Amino acid sequence: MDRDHRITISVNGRRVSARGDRSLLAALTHEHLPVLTRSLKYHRPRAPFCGTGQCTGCLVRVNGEPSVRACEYLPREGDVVRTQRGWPSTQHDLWALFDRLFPRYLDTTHGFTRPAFLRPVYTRFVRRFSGQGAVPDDAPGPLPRPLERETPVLVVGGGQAALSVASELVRMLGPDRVLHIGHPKRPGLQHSLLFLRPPVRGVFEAVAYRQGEPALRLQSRAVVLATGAYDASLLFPGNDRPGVMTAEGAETFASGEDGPPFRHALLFGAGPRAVEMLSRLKGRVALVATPWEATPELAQEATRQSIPLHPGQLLLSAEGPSGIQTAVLKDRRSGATTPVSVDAIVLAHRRIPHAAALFQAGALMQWRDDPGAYFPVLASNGATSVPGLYAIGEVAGSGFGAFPEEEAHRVAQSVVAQLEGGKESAPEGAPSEGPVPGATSSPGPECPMLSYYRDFLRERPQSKVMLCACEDVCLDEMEGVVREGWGGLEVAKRISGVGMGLCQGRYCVPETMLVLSLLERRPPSEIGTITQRPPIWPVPLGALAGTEEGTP
Amino acid sequence: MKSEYDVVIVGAGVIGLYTAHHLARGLDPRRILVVDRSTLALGASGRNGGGVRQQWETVPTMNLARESVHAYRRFAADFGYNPWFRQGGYLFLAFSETEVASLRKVEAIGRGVHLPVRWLGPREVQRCVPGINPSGLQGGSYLSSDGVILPFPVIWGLAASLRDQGVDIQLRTDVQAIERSGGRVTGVRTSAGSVRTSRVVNAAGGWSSEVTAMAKLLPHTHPTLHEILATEPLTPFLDPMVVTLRRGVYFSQTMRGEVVGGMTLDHGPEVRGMASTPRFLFEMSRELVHLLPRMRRARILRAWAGYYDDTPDGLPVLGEEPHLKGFHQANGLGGHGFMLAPAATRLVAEGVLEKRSDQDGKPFAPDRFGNGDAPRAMERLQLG
Repeated sequence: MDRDHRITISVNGRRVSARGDRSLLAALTHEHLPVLTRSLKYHRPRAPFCGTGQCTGCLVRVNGEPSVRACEYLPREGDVVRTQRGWPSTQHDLWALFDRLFPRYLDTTHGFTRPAFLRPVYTRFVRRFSGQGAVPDDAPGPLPRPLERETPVLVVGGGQAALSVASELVRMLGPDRVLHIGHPKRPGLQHSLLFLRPPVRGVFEAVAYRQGEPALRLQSRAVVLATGAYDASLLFPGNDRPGVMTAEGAETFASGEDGPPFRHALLFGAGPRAVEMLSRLKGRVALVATPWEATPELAQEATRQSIPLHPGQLLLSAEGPSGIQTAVLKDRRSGATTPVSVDAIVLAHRRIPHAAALFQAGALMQWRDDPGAYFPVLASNGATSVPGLYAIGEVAGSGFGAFPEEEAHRVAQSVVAQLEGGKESAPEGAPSEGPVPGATSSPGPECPMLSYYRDFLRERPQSKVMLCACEDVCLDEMEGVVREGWGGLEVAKRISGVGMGLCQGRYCVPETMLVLSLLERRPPSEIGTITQRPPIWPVPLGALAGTEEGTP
Repeated sequence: MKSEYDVVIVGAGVIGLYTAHHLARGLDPRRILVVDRSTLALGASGRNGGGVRQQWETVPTMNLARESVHAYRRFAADFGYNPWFRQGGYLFLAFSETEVASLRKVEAIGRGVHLPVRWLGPREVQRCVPGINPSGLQGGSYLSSDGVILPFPVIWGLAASLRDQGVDIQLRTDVQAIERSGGRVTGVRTSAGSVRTSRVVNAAGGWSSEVTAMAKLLPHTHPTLHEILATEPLTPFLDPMVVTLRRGVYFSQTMRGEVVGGMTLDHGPEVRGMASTPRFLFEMSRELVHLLPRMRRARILRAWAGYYDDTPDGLPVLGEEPHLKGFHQANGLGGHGFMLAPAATRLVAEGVLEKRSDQDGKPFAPDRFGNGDAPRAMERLQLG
């Protein structure tokens, strides 16, 4: 194999040279992030946002298969890639007309109701616009059967915490008794956990999957979750524009051959994550804006790189003919607005734990005002309220980049003690059964993100703020839902579709909880959250459906 | 919540709300209370696959279904909430001679009541469901006016209309006891206080057997766990709801483009709670990909679970209990509450108001369980 591993693929009929060891997205990205798709209702242009296989910004059709995440797909020689949304093309989509026709939002709950005799016509018309792509009707080959495996200990995660705890466990138990599966951040490339059931008679049942392989069906007596955290979205008009991305997204896109797909980015964040991004995106950050006071480390690093820092800002909007040219900041104290010329916005202000498996397994969760998310209630040895289930690292609440090595040792020791029949300690004060999220709330100052959004909502944004980019749910729509007297996240989800999109609620739910809290005037912990339904990562039916013996 | 009502309805699902809707035409709406342990659309009314069909093995059920289809056609215009009722048909598939015989019977019964049920041969089935696996396929019965509905807007529409009329909908409130005296209902004790009433409607769905037991009666229904999965939104390619008799597999494509389907699985006592199981994910994927091989490249977006409220004879329990005056059952719909709700609840409401109904309610009356003999199985099309 040659060193560069060059291959040729076809993109919308054009021949494109690519590297087979980099994601398909890298092959499609040059100076700027490409507009690869159009949004569900309003056909707004969308570009990659998260870089981690969660958002809908890079869905393309590969060899006929719809909705392949370009960021997690390794291209092969001869692959036929097509964009799947928009007419006549994704770049120039006539149906973007809908975005102008409905400047606030298109109300499909109350709309299209009268006159009654037109109902079938409306239905046929609206249905034509649904869906993200077609499933090819080609001759199917036999599908390999899912693999079944029993392991005493299952470790999930690919970051430092998972590696440390897995190597400790291997040292103590031997390699045959520990199964370590990959990172949720790279579902295409490593096994990712799709489902974790509460234990029945001490045995957990889990399902995992890696792209292109049959699913893994696992049984295990102890599970250590080190699934980490991800960078959250942010609400502002234009927050779904090409060029807005999470810090993780910027990391992924920056690893391409041309470096980051921007030159003068606005970095939004106030803490260690922003500091890290400043050093990673050297020379490509034009300014830093912080939603609240910047940490001394961030101020220092910005000064060192001679990058202007605007503390305590609201991000009011992002505008431009296509992509981003201008962002508008507003000082939360003085009220002064500052337009800034930038070509990208990198969001590094808030990290949310990858806690879906903890919810699924029934662990008692606790709301934390900072960062405004649910974390597991833990004993000092990392044990959750579910016997045999442990959490460690960022998902367990240790801050970003602050993983203490000795914790891995402590958790590994208690896992081993449990397997050898010793008694494990349940978290103090936690009930032994009936775990309910939102049962407890930590005291202290108000959630910083909540007070940020309180200031933001006072600005009464005049154009669409995307609460949920997967389903095109706007902030205005949610205000309508609350005005009508509906409340709580579970009901809001069923009315608006928030949380039902392809990101499994990861980018909309954390923001919606805070917005509903403000609109309903209740603390966020009373808004509730949605059930974390399986699969944690969307999985092709073919990976579960196989009946043929043998491995692929 | 007031201290006295003319009627208390237990359960704010589609059955409870639709019952209240019919009752509000004959009673002062402000004297109707609907009480629910949870919030709206968290039980089966928010967890079903949205199928609405008229193909049944018994004429009275067919009549309920037909009236309900008519109501759902008008729902958006009547209530101002759009459930996107799409009449893409229902196709029951037969893979054996026995199944052909069962479905031919449905076709005959349907035609007897002027429902144009059609028999499709294997070729026609393949045209109707592009890409279906023809192996073993014998044909199917098809009715084009059956369809699929988005359940949520029906719940919002009913709740909003009831609220506007002054009906009390008391959510997050547990019913703790049904008070009775001298063979009559006298009140209901809830976690938010006691209310006096002479009439109670048990519309508690998967929890209806518990409510029946609170009234010190023998339950006729039992909850069974049922699971559903949905794929990522796909460009529309599938018009009808497709159902197989074997294993009760069903699937259709929603207005959003998701393929939504479920199947009958007997989990046994091991599985508790309203949660998905890995077993369902694997078995349903296998069945769906076997029936429609092209689906192997579609992704599962989510799976969820809910309760069916089953009866021994597959027929709903609708009407007043013979041994407890004022206690009306509106349950046991076995996973078909949504599709039968508008008509089934009219029957219940007419019973409460002591009006004569033009629907034949006899096969559904609770007194059919009364004589000690196990009731004869009557409706076997308890799927999809």
